Amino acid sequence: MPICHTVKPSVRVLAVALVLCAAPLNTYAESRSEWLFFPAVTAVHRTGLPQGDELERNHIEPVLDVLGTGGLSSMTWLAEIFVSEHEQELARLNVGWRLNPQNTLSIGKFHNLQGYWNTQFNHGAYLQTAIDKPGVVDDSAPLPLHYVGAQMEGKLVQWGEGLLNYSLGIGKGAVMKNGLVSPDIVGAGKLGDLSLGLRLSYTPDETSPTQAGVFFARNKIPVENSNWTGITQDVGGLFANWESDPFRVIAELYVFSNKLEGSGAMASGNFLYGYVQGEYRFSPRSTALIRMEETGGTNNDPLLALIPDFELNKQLIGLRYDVTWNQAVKIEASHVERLDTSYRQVQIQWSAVFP
Amino acid sequence: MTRRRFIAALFCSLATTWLPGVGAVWANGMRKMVLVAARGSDLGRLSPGDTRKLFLGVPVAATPSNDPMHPLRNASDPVLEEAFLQKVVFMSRDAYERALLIRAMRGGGSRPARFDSETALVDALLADKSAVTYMWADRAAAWPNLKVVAELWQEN
Repeated sequence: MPICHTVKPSVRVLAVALVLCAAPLNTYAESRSEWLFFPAVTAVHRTGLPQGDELERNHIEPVLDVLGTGGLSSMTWLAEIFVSEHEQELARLNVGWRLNPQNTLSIGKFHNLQGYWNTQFNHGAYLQTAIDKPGVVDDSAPLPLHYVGAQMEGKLVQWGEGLLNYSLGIGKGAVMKNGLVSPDIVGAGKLGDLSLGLRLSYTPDETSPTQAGVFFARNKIPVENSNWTGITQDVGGLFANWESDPFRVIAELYVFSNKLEGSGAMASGNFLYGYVQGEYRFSPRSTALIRMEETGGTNNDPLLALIPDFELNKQLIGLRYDVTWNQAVKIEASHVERLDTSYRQVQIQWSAVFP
Repeated sequence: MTRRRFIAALFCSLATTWLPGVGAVWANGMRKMVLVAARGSDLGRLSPGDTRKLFLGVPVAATPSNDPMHPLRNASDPVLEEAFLQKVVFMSRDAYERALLIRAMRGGGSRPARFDSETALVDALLADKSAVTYMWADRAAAWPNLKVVAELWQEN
């Protein structure tokens, strides 16, 4: 079935409305707006999966991520719609006001503030060197990836060229229902409970991609279709992205503390998750990468029991070839361990950005 | 072209390239890159470092009201665009496009508008008092309603 036929009517209406609203703004020189289209097609082959597993052994998945950004005077807006055969999501929709040159206040739907990957790439397949996301930001992640509310961000301190940036968010997060379901602000509207996040990052130069930082989040997550009724989750961690051509290293460490309540019972658990990804650009258009993901202390964790699809450990190697400035072909091989099984997979992906 | 005209054209080309006096005029007149804005704008002077930030998507204010400047990309001359990326932004074109896309994905706003026609570019500059673009100095001098707000690079 064509992707456009699988999109929820509410998302379709909103997408059309956004495009119509943005188009007239382009006629004024003072306003800026543009739409970016990130299509990708991924072919996957898996071996070692048990019979009846939800994942398919051979699968081809086309996806499209549409990002709209714009501004008028001190106001900015951003909309992102992600469409695949299995998922149609208004991933982000927010409006911001530049209070002063240092600070911006926004309201709407955002990516949660944890770590590096979730705030940098998320659905933009072309922008990430790898095909696969780390497990902690994948669909089966053990923490909410979006929230609906308000976000304040800006510069905290400047030392010479170096900058300490902050992002502070508060709002409503995800609901646990066969995995964590992100909140919606159109359609039926599934809003979870309180989601609080703080992210601090240091960059040696405002234009440099190199950055390192810390983050903290508290998520209260209602649980549906289970004996548990609610989860209180505290997450903290570190992240870094270091780039010095032809090398790049991305690393993140997450510390989870979860408390589950329901039917007069209570259970708690803690675990660690981390990954390191190394990249080497061995020619102007070719990059090799390797990634190791590890989870520790997961024995009988009550939260992970609700998300058996979470990828605990993964070893991945891959190659990326940039065919043109806006198109890339990638190939990857990985070994994945989940709570319930393990398997191997090979993926080939074409991704691009237009215009 | 007759042989005599061809030889004369060749001589002039070599003279402008090699003769010290003529070469200096060519360097001063042709190979100087400047940042320009509408003559009526109240934009102050900008350093090449701030220009680099501006074209990489970092908000830079250069007006008394602290309104952010709007960078416009001049793609009317491929040599100029390449020189701007290499000498001012210090990036290859691929790396520059990627940096802008990553910033847009992160919520850093739209990429600078890109103009293939110099006339359309100047029209956009004149319509937006906060807009700036880069040009060769001799091209900028040909538009009396533009003013130079920074000297970005000069060929040695």
